[in-house]
Amino acid sequence: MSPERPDVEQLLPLPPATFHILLALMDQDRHGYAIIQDVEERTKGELRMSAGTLYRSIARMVEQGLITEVAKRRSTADDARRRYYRLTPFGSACARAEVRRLSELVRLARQRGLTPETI
Amino acid sequence: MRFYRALLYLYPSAFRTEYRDELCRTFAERMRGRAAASAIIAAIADVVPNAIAARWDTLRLGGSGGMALATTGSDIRFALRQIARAPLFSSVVIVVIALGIGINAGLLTTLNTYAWHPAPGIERDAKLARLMPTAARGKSDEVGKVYLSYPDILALREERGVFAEVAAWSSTSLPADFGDGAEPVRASYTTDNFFRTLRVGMAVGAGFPEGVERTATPIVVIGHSLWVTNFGGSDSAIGKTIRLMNQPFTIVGVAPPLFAGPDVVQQGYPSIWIPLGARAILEPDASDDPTRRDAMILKGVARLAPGVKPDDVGRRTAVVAARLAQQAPQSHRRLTVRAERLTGYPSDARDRGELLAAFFLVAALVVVITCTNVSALLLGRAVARRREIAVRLSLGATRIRLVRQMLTEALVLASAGAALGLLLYTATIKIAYATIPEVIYGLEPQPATFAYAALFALATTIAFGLAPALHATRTDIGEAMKNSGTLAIKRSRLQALFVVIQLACSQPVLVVTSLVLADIVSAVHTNADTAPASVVTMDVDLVSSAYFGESARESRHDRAAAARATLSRIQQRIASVPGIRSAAVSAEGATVECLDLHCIARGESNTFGAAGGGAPMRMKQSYVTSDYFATLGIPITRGRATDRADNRRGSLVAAVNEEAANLLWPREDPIGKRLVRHTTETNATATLEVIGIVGASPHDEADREPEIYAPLSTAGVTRNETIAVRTPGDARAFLPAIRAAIRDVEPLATVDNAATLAERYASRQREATQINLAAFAVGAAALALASLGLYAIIAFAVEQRTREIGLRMAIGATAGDVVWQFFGSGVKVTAIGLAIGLPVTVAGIRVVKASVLGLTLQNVAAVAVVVPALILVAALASWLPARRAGQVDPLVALRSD
Repeated sequence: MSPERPDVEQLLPLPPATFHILLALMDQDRHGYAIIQDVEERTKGELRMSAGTLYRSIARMVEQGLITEVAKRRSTADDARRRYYRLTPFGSACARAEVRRLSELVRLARQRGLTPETI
Repeated sequence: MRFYRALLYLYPSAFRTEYRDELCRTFAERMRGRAAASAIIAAIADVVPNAIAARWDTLRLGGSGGMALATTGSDIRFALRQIARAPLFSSVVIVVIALGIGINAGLLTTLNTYAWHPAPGIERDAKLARLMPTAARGKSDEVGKVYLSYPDILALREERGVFAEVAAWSSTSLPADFGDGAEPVRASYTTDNFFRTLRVGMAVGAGFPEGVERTATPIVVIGHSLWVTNFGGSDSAIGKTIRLMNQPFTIVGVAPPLFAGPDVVQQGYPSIWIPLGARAILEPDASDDPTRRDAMILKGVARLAPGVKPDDVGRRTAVVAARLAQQAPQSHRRLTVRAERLTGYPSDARDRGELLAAFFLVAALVVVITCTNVSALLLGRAVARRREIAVRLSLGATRIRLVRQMLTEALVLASAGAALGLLLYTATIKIAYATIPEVIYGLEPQPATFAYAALFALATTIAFGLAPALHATRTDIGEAMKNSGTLAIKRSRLQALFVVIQLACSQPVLVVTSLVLADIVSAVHTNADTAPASVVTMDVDLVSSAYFGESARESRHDRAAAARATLSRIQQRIASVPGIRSAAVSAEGATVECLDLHCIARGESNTFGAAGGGAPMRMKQSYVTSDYFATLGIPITRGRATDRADNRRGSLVAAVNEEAANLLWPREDPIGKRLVRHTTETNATATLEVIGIVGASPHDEADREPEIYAPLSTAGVTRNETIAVRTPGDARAFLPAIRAAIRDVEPLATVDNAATLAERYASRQREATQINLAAFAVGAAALALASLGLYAIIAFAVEQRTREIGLRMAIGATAGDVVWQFFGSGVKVTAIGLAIGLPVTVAGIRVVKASVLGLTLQNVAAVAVVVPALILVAALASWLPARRAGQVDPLVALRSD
């Protein structure tokens, strides 16, 4: 969609919804509702994305080249009309960069003696 | 689901086209098993914020917004054309919206000014808090509102973690002399940080220097209006000397315009501020010296320390409050010091809750009426255009395109209505302010309030415009082209629902406004012709003379006796002025209490009972001199008035008015009967002999209270002393002579509020007329809204059923049958609406009953007038279109599309 792909660093920090969608697509291609379910499951129901939030994020992520729509349907058992999304190499690079950023933050906090227990 | 699909229209078109199906599918899956209502809420919560964000993204990042803009432009142009094609319909809708927005913005502005904002002149500030101390009173454990002492304020100031600053004030009334005679002004003794804490800067001058609250420094800050009246707004006023209670005080500052202290109730009075320490000069009565711990006379206002909320204050001052309670257990038992955000009315002010509730009720009902009206009108219009809609649908227009089209039309109408509403709103407030500044002091148009009301109206228009738009476009093309009747039935059910809501809401609004109206009318129902210009009454104040005059005495008892003697000398002196027919003095009984605001005279509360039976009843008592009734022209219907001999001897006799006589001795002759008076404050009991019955004064208020009149010489301490004088011609000509006579006897007496009975009547009448007009305007606007909507709804129904009517008449129905059918169904709907509105009306009456004067016969009459009036309007609104239906020519009707 956009010929000049933005730099990984430019996209950081990732919005939480974006990060979660990337995580959901790590292991397999999924359609919209499956993403919502996966996120909800992994966060134990803490993050419940609405349809609007999801597709607004998806639209932006497709444009940024983080994910891409898959032309071929994964399985015949699923509804053939559904649109599936897949992580691009750029997307997984971004997710990795975000993880690095977050762990760096946590490391800094721990150095100062700040752990969840101390709060 | 249909609703969700329609809402999707809010998204930018590119996004919508790309993801519509996916969004719908995902939303449907998420909502599986949920109730319809919760799905609707979820749909709104999902789409609205995301659509706004998506639109914002499109705007920011560019993208395909141009196309959408072009369609919006053409939608607006089309909407304008449609509006121009139906001028009557459009103007009705615009006027309805304008009335709705105008009324609402007006109500909200009033609320905002008086209930949510600090008093005029003080900036809104989250750090400002009013202290709300409570403590146990008397011997009981019951906790009530108390004031604070100066040592309390000093202790609270030490709590630096809670308060950045604590200021205090205490208000009273004092005679002030600016050079041409004393006049009473509202005076507040304040701590020196009072203005600084409120962030109120001086218009002129430096204000109070620090530290004066502890010293008896004779300086004063005067109110803006006093400055303009007495010094022409000149800077040279600073440093001038005025006399307060005959003591010289130097002006050190002028308060800004409108500022009259933190309480709205002070508004409109001429005000001055004096340092707390200077109270020793004016009231050298040591009994409640501010340094004493139990002299609880101060109200407190504080600027909170950073991070402290008003709600925290009670908890965080618990320790200091407990310490204060320990130090002065008599007066401070169970003391707590809570705080609330500073507003013009403290939350414990009388009637505040009821007043707010009544305002909100009316505002909310006006919104509902406006919305149902607009919705019904739009629906009628949309259905009238169903052929056009069907044609466009069959030519390939999408339903969403049409819905969007109709929503645009609704929005354009709403915007026009909002513009007209703004005009209405500012004009009303400007006019109201010009005519009754004393009632709505400090009220001015607030752009933010109006914007809020207008935005709210726009939002509701969209919400209410959506229903008719969806309804109208759900058209079976074939049906609509053939113009069959099934649609008409569905539609008329929806419209009938609108009428019902409409009536259910207008009834309470009208009843509540008319109740207020009836109360005001009944309060001033007097006879103009008999109020003579030859009688003048005035208030006379002897407070300062009692302290500083020739007759100043040490003890309170002596002072009271001296004041009585002075009053009677004044009366005799005035009566001896050449030309004056008679003069009389009246006063109310008082007791003196020194725990509250300095040593003030409080009204005496007396109960009266017939000797030897009957429960004692609370009644008003006046002390009067002999010529009182003759001077005021009050007739004595039986027996005699208290005369000079009674006054000289101090006889225990009384004249009673007819109301009191009826209460005490129903169906008996009261003359010669004995009356037992018990004064609650002094616990004194006296037996009075009834010597006369006083008739109704022709220029008195209509519903008179029972009242007892006793000779002035039998009074103890008095208050509210009034002098009445009867002259041969216009009494105003005698005023200088009367004033001179009073000064002759007592140079320190202040005379105030002098006016002839004719003038008093006229001003009461004027005030009532103005308030009447305001209440009438609200009522009329509500009625106009209701009847416009009703008429339009039924008229549309008739118009759309022309074909059906034609058919009926063609197969033998008479014009009378048709008229009766429409009229009958209109009345039926009216009855249902009124019945549903009844509980709301009853609730409204409860609210008003508490805040206004009570449910009198006139109030019931008001309701009895309003409900039939509503029925009449509804009947007329149904009859006019029904008659038109009867005039339909069957041939024309059957040919009509």
